[in-house]
Amino acid sequence: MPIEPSDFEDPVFIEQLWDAFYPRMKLAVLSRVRSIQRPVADESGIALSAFHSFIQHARNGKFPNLVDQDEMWRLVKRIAIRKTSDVRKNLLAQKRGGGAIVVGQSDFSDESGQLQGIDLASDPHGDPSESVEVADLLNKMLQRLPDDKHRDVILLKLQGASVVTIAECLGTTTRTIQRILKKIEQSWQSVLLEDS
Amino acid sequence: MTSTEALLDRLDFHWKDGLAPDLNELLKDFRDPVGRAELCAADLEWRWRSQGLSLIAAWKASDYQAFLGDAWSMPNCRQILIDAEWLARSAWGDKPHIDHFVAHHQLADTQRASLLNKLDQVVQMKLIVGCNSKSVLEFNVPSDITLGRQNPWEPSSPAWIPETGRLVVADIQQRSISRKQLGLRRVRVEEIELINLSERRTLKIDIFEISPGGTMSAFLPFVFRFQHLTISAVAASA
Repeated sequence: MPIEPSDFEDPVFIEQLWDAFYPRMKLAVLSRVRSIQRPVADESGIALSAFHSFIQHARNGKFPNLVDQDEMWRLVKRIAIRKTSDVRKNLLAQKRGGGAIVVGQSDFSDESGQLQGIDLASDPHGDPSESVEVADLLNKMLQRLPDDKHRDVILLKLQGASVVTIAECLGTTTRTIQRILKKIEQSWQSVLLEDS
Repeated sequence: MTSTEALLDRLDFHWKDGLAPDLNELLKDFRDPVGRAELCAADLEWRWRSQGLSLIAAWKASDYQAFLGDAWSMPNCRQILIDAEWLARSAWGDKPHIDHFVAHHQLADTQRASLLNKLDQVVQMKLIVGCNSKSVLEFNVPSDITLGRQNPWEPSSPAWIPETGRLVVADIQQRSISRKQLGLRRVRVEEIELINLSERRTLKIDIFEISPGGTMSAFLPFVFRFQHLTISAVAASA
């Protein structure tokens, strides 16, 4: 039986949805929210805002074919994740590259199409030609990595993020990050040996 | 991608979706004991990270005994779980003291050192050494270092010798200071212990006196004067 917009006026129904979705929403956005400076955002605020948006849209009949809780959960989760991305994008737009931590290969390439994180590895006070050389070398090394996840890990590491912070930003565990860092180290060592 | 990595990805996916995965289901056809331990370790970490958000319970290493089966009796598998518990509790939990944790799990000294090194994954400890109101040295330090008088082969004070984990705080002629005068070791994420390594001399740290062999606890950030130097032990920003 389809769920009607009028169902979303029923406080008991709303409360049931709240109980079912709120903790899961917070968990779903947690790893993404941790990459954003507090108090700009926290998982509770984003979950609350996403739930509110979902109910408003549902009341206005924007989701006409809802049939069960799983479908509603997929929608709520998508709204929550989108809200997290919006907060992050706004923050980065306000302070160019200005989050304490910049996350995701896509974030680096969004605006200029180039890896801005590379600049962080060069010394701003050093010889400019050396900086370019270092940036070129790093770019070359990054291209050799198998995927964006590896590149995100090493770029965050080069910015001085701890393993715990990287794991939180990328939504995985510290052991996985350690494994990736070890692989990168081995891969880069072999590249340097080849070059020399 | 190995089968263990694929399984770990599935586990991450469940947790990111806001659901505690069914470990028995995930491990059903997976026989590799180390891989099983890795999966349990990842689950343990997610539980500590997610606690407080819903009704998810934070589990300890021993709670995974049933999932590991025979692998629990393999020291390397059990160690994976113990390491994960230490790191997860230090980063997202009750931040246990190393002495209590080591005693509880009956661990050897080598394991203790390895656990302390893992705290760097949570946050690194940094020392800032100042002299005459100027910061002269700033460096990340391992979990256990020694402060003392210059050896003949070492540079003059102040100097950090990373190879030996020594901070030279007095020049060779200052005989009132021992070669190994003060130990500084991390005992939990944001707590350090200062140990007077001298066998005879009482050591004065600001208003505190540490008797020979005695210790003093302090929380980061901690600033103290030692000889003519001001030393700040701080958590490096993550």
